[in-house]
Amino acid sequence: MGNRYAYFQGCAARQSCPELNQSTLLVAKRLGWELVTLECGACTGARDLIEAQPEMAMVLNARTLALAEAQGLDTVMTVCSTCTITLRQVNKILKENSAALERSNQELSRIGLRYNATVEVRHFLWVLIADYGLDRLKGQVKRPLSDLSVAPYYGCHILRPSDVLGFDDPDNPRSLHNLITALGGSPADFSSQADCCGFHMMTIDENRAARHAGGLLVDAQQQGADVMVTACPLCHISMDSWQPKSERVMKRKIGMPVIHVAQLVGLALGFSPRELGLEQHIIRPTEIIANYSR
Amino acid sequence: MDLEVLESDVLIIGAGGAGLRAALEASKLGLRVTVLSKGPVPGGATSVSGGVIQAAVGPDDSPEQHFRDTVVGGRFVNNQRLVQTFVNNAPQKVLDLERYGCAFDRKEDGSLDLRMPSGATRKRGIEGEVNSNVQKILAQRALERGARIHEFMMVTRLLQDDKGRVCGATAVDFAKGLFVAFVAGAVILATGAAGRLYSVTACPRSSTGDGVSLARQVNARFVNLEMMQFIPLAYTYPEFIKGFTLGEAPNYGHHTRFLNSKGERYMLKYDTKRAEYATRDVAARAGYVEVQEGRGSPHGGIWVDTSGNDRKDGLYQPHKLADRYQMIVDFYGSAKANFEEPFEATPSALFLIGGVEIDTECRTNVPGLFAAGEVAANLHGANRLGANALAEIQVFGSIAGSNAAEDSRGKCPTSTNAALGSQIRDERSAVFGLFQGTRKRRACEFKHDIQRIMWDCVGVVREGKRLQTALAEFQRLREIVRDEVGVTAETRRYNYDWVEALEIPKMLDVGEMMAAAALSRTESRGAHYRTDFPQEDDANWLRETVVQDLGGKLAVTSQPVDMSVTPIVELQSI
Amino acid sequence: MESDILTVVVERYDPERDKAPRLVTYRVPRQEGMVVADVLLYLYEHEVPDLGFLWECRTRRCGTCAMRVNGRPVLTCSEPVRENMRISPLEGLPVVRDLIVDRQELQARLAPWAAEALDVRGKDARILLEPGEIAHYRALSECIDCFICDSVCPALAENAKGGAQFAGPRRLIRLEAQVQRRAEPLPWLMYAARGNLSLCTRCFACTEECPRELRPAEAIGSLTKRLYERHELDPHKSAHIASFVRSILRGAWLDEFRLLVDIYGIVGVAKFIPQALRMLRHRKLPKPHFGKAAQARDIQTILQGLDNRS
Repeated sequence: MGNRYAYFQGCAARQSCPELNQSTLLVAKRLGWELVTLECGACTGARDLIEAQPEMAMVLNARTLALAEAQGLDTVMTVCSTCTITLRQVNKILKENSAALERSNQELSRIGLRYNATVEVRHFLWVLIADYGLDRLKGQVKRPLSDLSVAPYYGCHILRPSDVLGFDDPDNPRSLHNLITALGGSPADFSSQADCCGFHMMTIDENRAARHAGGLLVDAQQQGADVMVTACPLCHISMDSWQPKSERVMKRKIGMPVIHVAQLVGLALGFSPRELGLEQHIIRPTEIIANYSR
Repeated sequence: MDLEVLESDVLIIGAGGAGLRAALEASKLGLRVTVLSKGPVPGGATSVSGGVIQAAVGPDDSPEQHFRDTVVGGRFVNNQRLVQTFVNNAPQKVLDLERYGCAFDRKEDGSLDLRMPSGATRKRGIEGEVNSNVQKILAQRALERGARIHEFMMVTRLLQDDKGRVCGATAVDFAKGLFVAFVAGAVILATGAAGRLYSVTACPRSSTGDGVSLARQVNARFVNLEMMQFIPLAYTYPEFIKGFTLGEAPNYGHHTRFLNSKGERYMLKYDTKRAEYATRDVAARAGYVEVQEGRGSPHGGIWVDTSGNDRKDGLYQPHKLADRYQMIVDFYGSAKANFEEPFEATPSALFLIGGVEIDTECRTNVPGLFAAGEVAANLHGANRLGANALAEIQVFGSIAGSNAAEDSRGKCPTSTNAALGSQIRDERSAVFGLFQGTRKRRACEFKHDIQRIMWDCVGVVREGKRLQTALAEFQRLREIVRDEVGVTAETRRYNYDWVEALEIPKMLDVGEMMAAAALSRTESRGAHYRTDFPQEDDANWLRETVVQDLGGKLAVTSQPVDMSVTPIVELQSI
Repeated sequence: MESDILTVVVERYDPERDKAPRLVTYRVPRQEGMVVADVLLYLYEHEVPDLGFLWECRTRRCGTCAMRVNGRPVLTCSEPVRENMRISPLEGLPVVRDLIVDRQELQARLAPWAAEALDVRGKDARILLEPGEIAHYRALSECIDCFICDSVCPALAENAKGGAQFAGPRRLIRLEAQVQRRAEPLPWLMYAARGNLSLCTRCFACTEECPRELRPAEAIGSLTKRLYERHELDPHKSAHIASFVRSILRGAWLDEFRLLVDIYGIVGVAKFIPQALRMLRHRKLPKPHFGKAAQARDIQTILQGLDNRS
C-alpha cells in the first residue's frame, strides 16, 4: 500500500488518449502519489490474446506483473478498464493455480524474471477511493463542481465479472457516483450507466457499435447530464472520438462531452482544462472550458 | 373450429428419461416418433433426480448380485423376470449414455468412479451427470434423428380402435390453447411420477400421475399400487420448497442422528440395530409417527443432527453435491449446511413403486399400449433401492422404444377413421366445456383436498378405516368436482387453472386405485405399512395386488408374484 | 412466526387483450423463508386465477421460472422475497402473457442444429473426456435455458435494429458444450460461426447474471479460439487478433494505426481519413510504430513457441 504504485499506462493512454495520461500524472502528483511508470511494460493483449492465444496472454502479462514486483511495488495501477480486467484475470489464475504460475515462470526465467504472485492490480478509481479516500479528497478540492451534472458511466470491464473485479456492485455501482458527489458535483443517474459501450465490436460492425454508443449518450443526456465521465479510454474513444459517427448513424445531434475520471478530479483540484487536455477532445467540453478556465 | 390430427408410428406420452430413451431407440429404427411432455423439457421427476445410476459394472460385481440386492430390498415381491431383464441390461443401457454425450465420473486411470447406493451391497452407483442433463442429452439425440417433442401438452385421454387397440391420444396444447389429437401405430406410456397426489412431495409440478388414469380408462391392469415410497428427509419450509428431498442419514455421513422435539434419538425405538441407518420406509415412518404424536419440530418435522459427522464422509461433500449443498445454504442457512446446527426435515412422497403391469417387453395387457419407467411395474417390489430408478428408465425406455417401434409398423390408423372421430369430438367438448357454464369453484381448492386425504389416509402410515374414509371421500368429491369445478379465467394460453381442472378427475382416479390396493393388502411390507396389519405375512402375501377398472367399477384382486428366477428362500438366507 | 404483509407490484400484460403492460399492486401475507415463487403461487390460488407464470422443478434445473425482480433477472424458485418488490418478465424477449416469455419450441431451443443438414449420422462419434476435462465440460453442458443471459445481452438486443444477427450467449454456450465432445467438431464450429460470435461485445453481462455460474462469455472466447486456430474465424476479428500478436512482438504496445490497416487494408482504411484528420487536429492521432521497442526482444523470447496457430 502506501502511496507508491507501478503505473501501467496501457496502449490508449499512450496514443489516442494522451490527455488521459497527462491528467493522471498531474492528479497523482498533486495527491502525493509516487507513480513508477512501467515503460518496459507491454500491451495486455486486451480480450484478443486471452481468448485466442491464452498461453501468450498469461506469459506476457506475468512479465508485466513481475516487472512491478521486481521494483518492490505491490500494486499495479491501471487507467483502462480492459487493462484492468485482463491483468486481474491473469493475476487471479497465477495466484490460484500454481501449475500455471510455474509454466509462466519457466518462460520468464529465460529473461531473468520471476513472478511470485504478490502484486495486486487496481484501477486508478479504486486507488483513489480505497487508498486515498474520498473524505481526504474532499479536503483537497479547490473548485467544487457545483452546478455540474455528471453522468457516471461505468461500462463493463471495471464491473464484470464481479469475481474478477469485485470493487463495485455491478447491479448497483456507486463508486463514480460517490466520487462525483465528493467533488461537489451531482451524479446524473441513468439506466444504461453500467451497459457496454460496444467498443470491442467496433471493427466488426462499426454502424452497430456507433448506434450502441450513441444510445448511451442520449440516455445520459435525457437525464440532464452536462458531461459524462468514464473510467476507460476505450469507452472514451467510443463515445468521444466516434461521437460524430454515432450522430451520423442515428441521424441526430448529440454533443455530449465525455471526460476521464482523472480530468474530473483534476478540475476539482484546480487544474485548468488546458492542462488536463480537455481541449483535445473531439466533442469539445465548451461549458467546462469556459467555466473552469479562470 | 379446426382440429389438428397428427400421425406418427410411435406416440410416447412423457418426456422423462424413459420416454426420451424410448424416443431415441424408435427414431434410430427410422420410424416417425412423437413425444408429448406435459411440462417443459427438462421437467418431470427425471429433472429433479439425483445423479447416481445403479448398474453392475464393477469388477467385483455381477448382475446376479444386483438382482439379489433388488429383490431383497423389495421384500421379495418384485417380479423376478422383470428384475432379471433389468439387471442384465443395465450395464449396457447405462453406459450407452456416454456415447450419447453424458460424462460420468472417472478416476485418473479412466475407470468409473463408483459408489455404494443405499441398500446395495456392491459399489455400483455410476455418477456425475445430474439427470436433468441426461434428459437434455437424450432429447438432443432424439431431435437430431427427427423425433418431434411437444412441451406443455397434457394428454387427456387415450384413443382406441374398434378392436380396443390403443392407437393414439387426445391432448391439450396449453401453451397455445389448442386441442390436438394424435394417432399412432403404438403408444408408450412413460408418464412417470405421482408425488403431487400428496401434500408433501419431492416431485415437480407436473407429477400428478396422469398416466395411471389414462391407462385405467382403457382397462389396463395395475400391480402393487399401494406401494408409494416416501423419502425420510425433506425440506419443511419455505412452503414452495417444502417436500423437496434432503435424502437420508447416509447422505450426511456415518454418524447422523435424528432427534424429536424432546431431544430423543427416537430411531432407537423403531429399529434398535440400524437406528438412523434403517431403510427409507422405516425411517420415513418413524419421522411421521413422531410428528403425529406431537414430538415434531416447529415446522412439523424432526431434527437432523449432523454434528457428529465429518463433512468429508458420505455423499454429502459440497463439491460433489454442489446444488444440494447450495439449496441447504439458500433455504436453511450456512450454519445448517456446514453441520454447525441441526436442521428440520419431514418425510415426503417420492416415488410410485407400483404401476401399470408390464411384461419383459414392456407390453401391457392392452394391445398397442406399452409402458416404461416409474409408471410401469413391478420391478421394485415393496421398496425401491436408491439409484435403481435412474437405471430402470434407461433399460425399459430402450426396450419399450424398440418393441413399440416394431409393433407399430403399418398400424397407424388414418386420421379419418370414423370410430376415432367420435372419441375425439367428445373429448374436445369436455375439455373446452370447462370454460362454460355456471361452475365457479377453483380446481386448486380440490387439489389440496385430495392431497390432504392422500397424505392422511394413504400415506406413510395406513389403517383400514382410514382407507375406507379415503375411498368414500373420493367418491363424494367426484360428484362435487363434476358439478362445480370450472375455469374462471378466459385465457387459453398457459392457463394453469384449466390444467388443474383437467388434472382433478385424474387424480381422483389414481387416488382411488391406490387406496383400494392399500385396503386389499392386509399386511405390512416395505413401503406399505398398516397399523391394523403391522407384520409381514409371507404365508399369504408373497403376492402382487391387482387393480383394474372394468367399465367404471374397480376390480381388486391379487396374484402370486413371479419368483421364477431364484427361490425366495435362497435370497432370504443371505 | 409473525407474518407481515408484503406489497408487490406485478407487471400484467395479455397481448391479446391489453394495449400495453400495466402495473398492478397486490398484498400477500408474508411467511418465513418465503421465496418469490411462493408469492406468485399465493396470488394464483387466492386472487388471480389467470396470473401467467411458470415453474416446474423448484431446484434451478428447468429454467422456466426466470423473471425480473426489481429489474434484476433471477430464478424465482430460489429468490428470497423483499419489501416492495416489482416483478416483471425478462427483458428483451417476446412476452406471451404476464411473466411468461417465449422460450421457443423445444428443438429450436435445445438442438437448433437438428433443423440443419449437419450430416449428423456417422459424424456424431463422441470422444471420452479425460478425467480432468469432465468438470469443465459438465459446467458448460448444464445450461438450463433460463434465458437470463440472452435477456441481458446488449448484442442480442441490437439484432432488432437489423443487420447481422448475433446468436446470443445461450446458443453459443450450448454449441461450445457440443463441440467439446465431438470427434469431428468442425460442422458445429462452422454452425457457431454463422451465429456471428464476433458481434459479442465481451461485456460479461451474461457471465455475471447466469444463475448457474456457467460463464457464457468465456465459452464465446473458447469458440473464438477454436475458429481462430483453424483459420475459420471471420476476417475482421482474425485480422484484429493477428494484428495484436504482431504489434506486441514488434513493439510491445499495440500499434493502433497498424491495427486499422491490418483489418481494413491500405485501400479500405482510406474511409477513416476524415476521422483521422479530425484526430490529428486534436493531437489524438496514433502514430505508426517504427522500429522495435527496447523490450521487444525480451517479449519475443518469452512468447516464442506459444503461438497456437499453425
